[in-house]
Amino acid sequence: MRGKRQETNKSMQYEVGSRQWAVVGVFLFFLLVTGHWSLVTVSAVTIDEKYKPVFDELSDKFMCLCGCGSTVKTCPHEDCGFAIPLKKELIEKIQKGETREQIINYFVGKHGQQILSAPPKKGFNLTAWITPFAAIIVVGLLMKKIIDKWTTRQKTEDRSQKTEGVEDKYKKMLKKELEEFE
Amino acid sequence: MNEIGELCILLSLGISIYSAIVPIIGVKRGREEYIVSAENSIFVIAGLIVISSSILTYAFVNRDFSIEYVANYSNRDLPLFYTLSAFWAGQKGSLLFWSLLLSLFAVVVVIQNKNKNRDFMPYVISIISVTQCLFLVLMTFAERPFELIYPPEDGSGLNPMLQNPGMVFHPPTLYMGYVGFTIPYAFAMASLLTGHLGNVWIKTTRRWTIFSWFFLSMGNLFGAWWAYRVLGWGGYWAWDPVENASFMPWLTGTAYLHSVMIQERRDMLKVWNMVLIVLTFSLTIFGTFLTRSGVIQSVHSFGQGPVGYYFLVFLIIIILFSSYLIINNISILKSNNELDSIISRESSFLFNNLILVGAAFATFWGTMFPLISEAIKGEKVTVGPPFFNQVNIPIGLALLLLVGICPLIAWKKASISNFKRNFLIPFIVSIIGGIALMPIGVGHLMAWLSFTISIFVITTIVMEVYKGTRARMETTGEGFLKALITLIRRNKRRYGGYIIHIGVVLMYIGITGTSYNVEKEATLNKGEAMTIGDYKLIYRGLNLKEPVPTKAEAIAAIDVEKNGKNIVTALPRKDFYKTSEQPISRVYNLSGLKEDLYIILAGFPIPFEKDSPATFKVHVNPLVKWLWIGGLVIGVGTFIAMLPDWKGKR
Repeated sequence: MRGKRQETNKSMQYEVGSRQWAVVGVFLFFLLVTGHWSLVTVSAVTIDEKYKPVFDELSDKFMCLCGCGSTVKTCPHEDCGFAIPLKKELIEKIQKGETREQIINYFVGKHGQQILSAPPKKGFNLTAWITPFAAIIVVGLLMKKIIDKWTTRQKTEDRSQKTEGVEDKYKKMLKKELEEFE
Repeated sequence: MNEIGELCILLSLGISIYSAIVPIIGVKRGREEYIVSAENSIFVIAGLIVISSSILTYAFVNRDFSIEYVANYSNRDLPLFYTLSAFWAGQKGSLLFWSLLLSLFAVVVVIQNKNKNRDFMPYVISIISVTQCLFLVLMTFAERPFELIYPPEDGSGLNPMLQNPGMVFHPPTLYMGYVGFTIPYAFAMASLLTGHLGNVWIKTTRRWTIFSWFFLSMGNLFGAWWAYRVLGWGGYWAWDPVENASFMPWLTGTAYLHSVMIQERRDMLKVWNMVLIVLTFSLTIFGTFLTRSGVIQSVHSFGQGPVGYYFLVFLIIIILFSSYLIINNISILKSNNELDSIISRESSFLFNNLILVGAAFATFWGTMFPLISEAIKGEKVTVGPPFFNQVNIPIGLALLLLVGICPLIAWKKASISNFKRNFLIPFIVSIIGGIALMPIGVGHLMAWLSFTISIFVITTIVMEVYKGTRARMETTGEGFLKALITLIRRNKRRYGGYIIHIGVVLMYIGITGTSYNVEKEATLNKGEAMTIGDYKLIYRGLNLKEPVPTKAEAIAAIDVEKNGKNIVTALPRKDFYKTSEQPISRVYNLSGLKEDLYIILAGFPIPFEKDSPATFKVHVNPLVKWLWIGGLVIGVGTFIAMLPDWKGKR
């Protein structure tokens, strides 16, 4: 199966004839002229393996502000005008030995709070983190209280029904005996 | 032709206003013929919108660029498949598509209820028609699909990112889910308006609810699949506001699907069910508002414009109207029955609802927090994926645990023996599984928990199905397979539900795999190699071809070796479109049950040279395939749950 797949894929490789090259050339010229090619540059951000975990962690803490809605780490634009320079700057800072806090403060100072991919867990922003859990816990406790109230009430009703049952039994006996007596 | 299309929309609007008002007058005056007339008008509206939609499709196929919408979303080179899907690629077409679906669903509702639910129908028709009016008003006054322009030589073309099968199926399935929830909502409101607050409206709309929920699930899943294959960042869910907008009604819809079972069984939670269906329907409109208002920045939005504010006004009307009706009926809605014990199926369903609605609230809160922060503190903040992951993962795990507990716990009051019988073995199996998985849990506590709970849930479901099958084998003497099939056929809703739960667990497994993603980026010269995980990638060269005059493809060839054995030649590429400024990465994805090898051609130097150095981003994404398999399993389970009742012998 794999061999067949490999064969198929290899057969997908193509040869471009001279006429086609001319067309491609015109097209490439069009791209160059309109500036489209400038979008495809080598955008690799090389980093020493030992710094990669810190780089991964920090680049996920910053939001790409190109409009992609992703973090700097996951921005899908390989030639992103925001994420790539920020990544390069970030590498420089990591290699210089700056601490996480220093780096974060630097980028917040440069771009404002909105650069952070999640609001910091302090001040007013703490409400962003706490509110969902607080809501679930409060509503959950309320639910438990209501259910407890229901079950207690039911137990009481059950007990009183049982008592009533006993009383009914004696009442019937008494009535029967009185009737017999009369 | 465009005049006919426009006229059809205008006529539909007029008739929708008629069908919104007339049935109510019919009820007030006791005139059945008014109601029948409104029902007939539903067919006319559907006919007119079908004509209108057909004209737009015809215009797309015939490249009628005198229609602005056609010129903006297609061109002469667009393949037919994508030309047809261009119908819903933009604002105007998607509004028409929504209107088309609603009109067709309305026809089905009228046919289904020709001889039943006659007291509900006037209100159901009226509510559906009011919703229809919103879309028709928009298409008449704000976003005209048949607006004319001076025809250009060629159209602007469809955004290359949308030229993918995922994007062909994502919007229609999502819209089917969104629109579908109009029907249960309309019946719920009808029950409030008539005062017939029993279970009839719930039973009548049960299949509509499952149908809508299923399509909403598939819509989200197709969107995720498209993002994974096209956006080229190695993931499938970015917690974008618009993604959140379709996730929220899914969560509340799921809660509603479960809580109606308690109403059917115990005649309880009537107020809560009303609240949930109103919330779900409102969230579908809220999602549309978010997508089309531009109020929150999103890659998916249709841009800024007045359209969003029409939805906002409609949303406010829905909330006020529904709240008034619920409050007005609160004394009748209050249940006579109460829960017998906190350890019962009813309670567990309630807690399942709490978690689902809690997750919807957390998502809503995170989505809206930037606006809240700006309004209160005047400070712009971003709430991105890390926030949603941190908040929703614990909630999601609690939910997964309840998936295992809810279906097996006894109704009314569970005893210790019931607990032991149902959960002891799954508990032991999951503990053993958890211990076995401990090595992969180091540094990934949440992932380990997710896998362990998944084992627990799967074991509970398998045990339950096995017990049912065994019991059937003993009583009827049937063989295992026959007993299993009959068991499922006898109780499709229950066992369809179990299959859906298995699908959900598989999706959890797929999502959990994300914790172990590995990625690497490297620039390679021809003949050079890079390694990632068990893979060695040898770069064999870069080539260029032009399959159509408007598109050029830069294709890299990479020999992929796994454990020293050549397994495939990967061909990641980058497409350049004349009609688009951004080149589009076409990811090469070697997908397996264990992991995906995901290769992106990230860049190469200019001017282009054959076999020049190239940069690659490579991801090894474990278990992703299980997410898509889970979706398929959910599809099978939903199909079974929706099948009509079988009236054969036991």
